Amino acid sequence: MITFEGVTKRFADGTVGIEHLDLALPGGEITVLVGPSGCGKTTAMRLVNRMIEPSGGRIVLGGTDVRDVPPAALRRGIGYVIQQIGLFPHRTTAQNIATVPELDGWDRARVRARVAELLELVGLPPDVGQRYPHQLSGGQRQRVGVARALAADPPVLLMDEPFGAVDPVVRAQLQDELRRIQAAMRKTIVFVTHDVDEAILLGDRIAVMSAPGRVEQFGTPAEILAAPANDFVTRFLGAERGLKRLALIPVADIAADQGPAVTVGARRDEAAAAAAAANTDWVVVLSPDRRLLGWTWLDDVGPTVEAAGAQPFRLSIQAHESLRAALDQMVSSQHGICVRLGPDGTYEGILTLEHLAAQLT
Amino acid sequence: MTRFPPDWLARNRDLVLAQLREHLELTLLTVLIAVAITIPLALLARRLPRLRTPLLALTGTLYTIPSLALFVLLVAVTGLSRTTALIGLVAYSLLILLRNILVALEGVPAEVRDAAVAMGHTPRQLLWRVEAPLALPVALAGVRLATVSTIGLVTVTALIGYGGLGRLFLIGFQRRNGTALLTGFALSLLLAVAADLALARLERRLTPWAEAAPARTGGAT
Repeated sequence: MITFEGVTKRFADGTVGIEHLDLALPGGEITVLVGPSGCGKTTAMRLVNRMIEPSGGRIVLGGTDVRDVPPAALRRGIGYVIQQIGLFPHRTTAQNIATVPELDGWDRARVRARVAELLELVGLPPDVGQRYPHQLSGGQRQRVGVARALAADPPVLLMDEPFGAVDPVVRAQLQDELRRIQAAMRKTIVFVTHDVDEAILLGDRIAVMSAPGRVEQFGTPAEILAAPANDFVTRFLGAERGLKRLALIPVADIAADQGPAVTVGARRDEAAAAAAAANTDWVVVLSPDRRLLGWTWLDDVGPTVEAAGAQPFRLSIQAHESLRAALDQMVSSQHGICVRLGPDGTYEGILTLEHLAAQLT
Repeated sequence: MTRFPPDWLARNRDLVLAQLREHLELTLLTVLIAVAITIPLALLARRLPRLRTPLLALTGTLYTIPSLALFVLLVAVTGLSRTTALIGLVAYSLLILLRNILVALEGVPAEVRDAAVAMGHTPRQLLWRVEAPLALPVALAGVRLATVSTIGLVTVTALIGYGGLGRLFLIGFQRRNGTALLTGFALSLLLAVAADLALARLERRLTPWAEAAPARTGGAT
């Protein structure tokens, strides 16, 4: 838990970086500070490890005012990752990762074991340990930066645009891996970015900030997308807010709707009733063990529904996928629907635009 | 008329070796003393940035004094002694070394220093674990330059009774002995080239991480 209590920061040249900031970041979560450049988000982050000292107010970390702890000792307990990474060019990957454990005086064997563990955690092959930073790719360097920050297992991690300098493909990989690592480690992470999509993707909680260090809204990504507090937040979230919300909601959140489903062998009037109930002129055809066979026009159904007449659905979705993915399938579907299957491939129902609209209102 | 007595070298082998040895000693002592003086000065200038300009101006002024004039002036104070020779030689190396060490320390990338501080290095750990090793290549380039220029300057101290191989120049001029001149010239040249190569090699040995790395620490002087 990190708390900003009435924090202000005026710089020596008179500019105000932060004007009275009150914010409580929950422990074990990723809190993203997001906002346009110059809004004070990096300043706020650097106040936590005393890279910047406040002009007023206090920052409390785990119950202690950070100014009561000597800076070097405080910082060794707080992981730090920046966009430029700042790897030590004269030290190998392994030595870079070992930095804080060495400063903390761990014995060699323990350091070696920890380095091996971290290389694996961040997805780097062991032989990378002996290379120098200039011999690594940008993505590898950023992984080393994360491993170095995690080395002494600090409870708190500060990350300032850590993935800003890598290409979009590598960035997506690194974001995924941060989520995976965080799911296992439950660190208290302060993550600074100007990228709304990154904030929504990674944040358990988001603080949307404006200059000078004002929090315009603080909440979960879903809360902020559903109800932006003011015009600033709305503008900052940008276009496609609805799509961004859908991306956060799993299909599982919507109760399965059976739709016009009939089993092979059903009579024509049963099929007609199912279609009428769902207000369609087609039906979903299932096998007796509820496997999806396809769909058929009601007009094409003979005395009974037959498997042979069913045309296959090209796409389907599962409960863990997002409503945004469901919408994507709807717009490319002839009937404007998306078929939902269980993990074992059995039919669970259909999704329509009405379902999505109901979620967003 | 300058003569080239062919047997001069053989007859004066001991003299030549003694002068070569003196040349080496003066050079080595000069560089060691100058490094010992400039490292604290450079660290002081880092701690108190407003001292940077005056310190560079002072060593720069020393550097611009004509060497002959400086040695003559020093003789008036410290006599015809080895101390006189060393003071003069050291004075000329200060600027090269100070400027290179400062540039070397300032060339440590800001993000590396930032990360080091934020990871919990104390100021002393920052200096010895991060800044000093990263400054080493450029600082050593300064040592190389100072060494080579000292090797040349040592010959001037022949005028106050030292001079290493410079003594051979004096003998050559006074006795119109071309062999002595050439010997002095060739040996001081060889000495300079050998020192330069040896130090370049040391530099590479001490900085394996810099191999093939893009130069990030700025120019040599």
